[in-house]
Amino acid sequence: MANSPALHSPHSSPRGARTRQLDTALIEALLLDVTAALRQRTLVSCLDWSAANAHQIARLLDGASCAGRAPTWLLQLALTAGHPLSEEHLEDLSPEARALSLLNERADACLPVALEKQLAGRCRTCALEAPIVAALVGKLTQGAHRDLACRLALAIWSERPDAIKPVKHELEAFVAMMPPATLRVTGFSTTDTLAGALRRACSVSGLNARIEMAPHGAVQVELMDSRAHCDALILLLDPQSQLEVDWRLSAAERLDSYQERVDALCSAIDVYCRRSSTPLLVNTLPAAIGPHVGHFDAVDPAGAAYMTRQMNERLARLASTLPALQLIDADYAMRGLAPDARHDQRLWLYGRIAYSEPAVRKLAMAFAQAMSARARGPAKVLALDFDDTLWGGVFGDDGVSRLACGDDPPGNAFRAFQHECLRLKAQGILLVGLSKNNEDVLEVFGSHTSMVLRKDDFVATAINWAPKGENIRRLSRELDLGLDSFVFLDDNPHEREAMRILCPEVFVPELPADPAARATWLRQLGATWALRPTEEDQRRTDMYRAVRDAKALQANSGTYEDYLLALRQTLTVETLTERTLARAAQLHQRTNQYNLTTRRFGEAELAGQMATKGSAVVLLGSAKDRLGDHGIIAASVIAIDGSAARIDSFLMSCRVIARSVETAFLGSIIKYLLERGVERIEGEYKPTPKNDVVRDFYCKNGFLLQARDSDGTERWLWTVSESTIPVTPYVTVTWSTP
Amino acid sequence: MTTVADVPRVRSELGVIFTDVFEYDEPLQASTSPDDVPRWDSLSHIALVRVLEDTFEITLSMDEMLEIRSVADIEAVLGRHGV
Repeated sequence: MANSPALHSPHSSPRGARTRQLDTALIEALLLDVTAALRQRTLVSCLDWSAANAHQIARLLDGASCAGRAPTWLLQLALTAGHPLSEEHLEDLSPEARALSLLNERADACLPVALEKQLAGRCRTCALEAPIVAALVGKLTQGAHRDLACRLALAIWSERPDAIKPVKHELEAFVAMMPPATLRVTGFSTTDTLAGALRRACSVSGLNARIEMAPHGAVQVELMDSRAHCDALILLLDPQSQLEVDWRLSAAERLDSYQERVDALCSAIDVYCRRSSTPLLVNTLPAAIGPHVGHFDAVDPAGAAYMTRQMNERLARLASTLPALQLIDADYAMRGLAPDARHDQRLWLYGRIAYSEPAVRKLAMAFAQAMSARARGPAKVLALDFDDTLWGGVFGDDGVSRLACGDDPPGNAFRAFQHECLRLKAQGILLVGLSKNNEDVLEVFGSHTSMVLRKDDFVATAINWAPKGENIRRLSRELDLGLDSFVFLDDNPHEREAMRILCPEVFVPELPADPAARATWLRQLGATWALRPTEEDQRRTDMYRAVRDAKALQANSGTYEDYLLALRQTLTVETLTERTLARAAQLHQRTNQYNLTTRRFGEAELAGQMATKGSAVVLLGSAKDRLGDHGIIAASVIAIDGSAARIDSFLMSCRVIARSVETAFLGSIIKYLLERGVERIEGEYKPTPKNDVVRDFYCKNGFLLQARDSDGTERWLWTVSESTIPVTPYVTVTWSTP
Repeated sequence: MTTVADVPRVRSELGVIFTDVFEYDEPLQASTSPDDVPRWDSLSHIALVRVLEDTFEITLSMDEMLEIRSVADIEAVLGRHGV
C-alpha cells in the first residue's frame, strides 16, 4: 500500500460535479480493457472510484484477477472508494480491510467481537494500512464502535493526521480517560507547533497531556530558574539557531564563541538536572542540511556537520551521567522524511519555526514515546517463537542439520535476527521461548553449529502443544511480571492474531514476512523501549569523561545570576526615526505576551507621534549580548503633558524575556522623562489572555497601584518623590542619537 | 495583470478549508479577514497556507504568505497560480 501513488492526499477536497463526470467517463473507458488499464496504475489510482457502481467494480476486479485474485493495491482502492468485496477477494487481506468491507456493505453493521479485538491489537503494532484505516475511521463513527475508531485514528495519526477529523469530538472524551501528564515545552525557536503535535502524540502513547509553554525563547531561565511543576520538560533544539555563526569573527574567535554557546547550554542542562528530578527530554541536532565548508564540512571546525557533532557529543556525555536527561536522536526520530523536507525556510523566516510540519509530528512522536517508555519502565520480556522465527525451517520436519541459520543466505538473515535478540538480552531484556514442538527441540541450540543464542540465554521456555496464550500467562505468573511487559514475536500470523485475542495486554507487533527485514525491524522496534546498557565496563569511560565535563561547567557558571552577568548584555536606547518606523510598527502588531497595553500602533500612528514635538515620544531599545545581536526588541509610546507622562505602550520581544532587559529599558525611559521635567509617570496594565507574564511588571519596578477598572485594567503611578529609578546590574545601557 | 480564480467554486472549497482549519462555519465574504475569524492568528495562518498548498497543489512564496489578509487575497493568490 505504501507505494501506491497519491491515493488520497491529505485534505483532498470534494471534487466538483464536472470532475466526477470525467471520472465516470474514464472509468467506463478503462473497463474496456482492464489488462491494459492496470499498466496505468497511476491513472487508475487517481480516479475517484466511488463514482463507479457495483457492477463496474466487479468487472474491474474480475478483469484484473489472476488465478482468482486481484492485486492487493486494487482491492484496497475499491475498499477506500466505499465498495464491499466478495469473500474470495477478502481472503488474504488485513483485518482492517475486512472490517471496511463489512461497513461498506452495511453502514450500520456491527463488527464481530473477534475482529474488533484484532483491530484493537493491531493499533499497537505500527503496521496498520493507513489509507484503509483512514476510511474505516470515518465509517466506524456511525456505528457503535466509537472507542475503536478513536484508537485507530490515533494509531495512524503520525502518517495521516487528517484521519482524526471524523472522530474529533469523540476523541476529546476518549483521551480524557487516559492518565494525565503535564509537559512543559521550551526552545530557541517557536515551539507552538511542537506543543500542538505533542498533545496528539502523547494521546497516541496513551497519555492525556496538558502542554504548558515556557516563555518564548527563554531556555536559560527555564532550565536554571523555573519553579514550574510538570511531569517532563521538553527542550526543542534546532540547527538554525544553534549553528548561527558570526563570519566577521576570526576563526579562533568563532571557535570560542560556539564553544561558549555549547557550554552555556550544557551547563544550564546540568544545573536543571541537579536541582530537579523532573525528566528533561532534549533532541539532538539533526544532520545539517547545508554545509558551511563544502566537502570539508565534517573536518573544518566551522563546518555545520562538525558543529552539529560537537554539540551532540557534549549532550551525549552529559546524558550518560544525568539520569533525568533523556536525549532523543533527531535523525532517528525523523527517519523516513527526506532531510530537505525537515525544514521549511519560509516558516523559519515567517515565525522562527524551525521544523516543517511532518518533521514536528515525528519529533513529537519520539518525545511522547520516550515519555511513555520512561513511565512504563524498562522491564520487558521478549517471547520468541522458534521454527521460522529463530531459524528457517521446521525442526520436526527438517531435523537439526537442515535448519537455516548460518553465514550464508538465507540462513544469515536468521543469524542476524538472533544477534539482535542477544543484544536485547545484553541490555537487560529477558528472553523466553514459546514453541509448539516436543521438548527435544531444545537440542537445536546445542547441536546446530551456527546458532547465536544458547539454551541458557532463555530465562524460561514453554515447549508444548497448548495455545501460546495459555503458556505466556503461566510464564507471566512464574516470572512475576505483568503480561503488559511481554512482547511476542512469531512469524505465523494466526498465532499473532490468537495471542491478541487471548492476551490483549501482550504487545504483538507484526513481524515482517521477509526474514531479511527482521533484524533492522527489531532494532527499530526496540528503540522505543527504555533501555540502558547495564555493563559497568561500558560506562566507566563515559562516567570518567562526564565527571570531568561537569567540573569544567561548574567552573563556568553556577547560578542564573552568574549566567546573566556572563552574558554581558547591552541595551541601546534611541528615539523613533524614519529608519526604525517599520520595525516599531511590526513590534506593536506582533507582540502579544510581553505587552502591557496591547495597543496596536501602526506606522501612520507612530509617524504621527513622532511629528508631535514635545507632547509624545516613542523610544526603542536594541539588545546585544556575547552570543548575538537581537536588534530592536523593545518599544514604548509615551504621551507627555508638562510634568506628567503616560506610558501608552510598553512591549518587548520574547527573545529577551527574563534577562532584566525590561528593567533596563523602563529605567531608561524614566531617566529620559526626568531630564525633560516630568515628575509623575502613569503606567497602565490591560490584561489579555496572553500577557499574564507582565501582570507584576509595574509593581516590581516601584510603581504604586492607583486604580483597577471593572475590566481588570490597572493604573499605576511612579513619582519622583516616592519611587526610585529601576536599575539592573545585568544590562549596560547606552543612548544612540539619531 | 492577475486573474481572479473561478470564484464560486474556489469560495466553496475555501469554506470547507476554513471550517477545517479555523472551525469557522459562517459564509465567507471577500472581505472576511482575521478580524472576523477568531482562530485566524499568525500560527494558524501557517496551517491555512499548508492546507491551501496541499489542496490546490501549489507552493506559495514568502511574499504571498504575508500578502494573504482576507478571503479576497487568497482568491487573488490562487488566481495567479492558475487555480
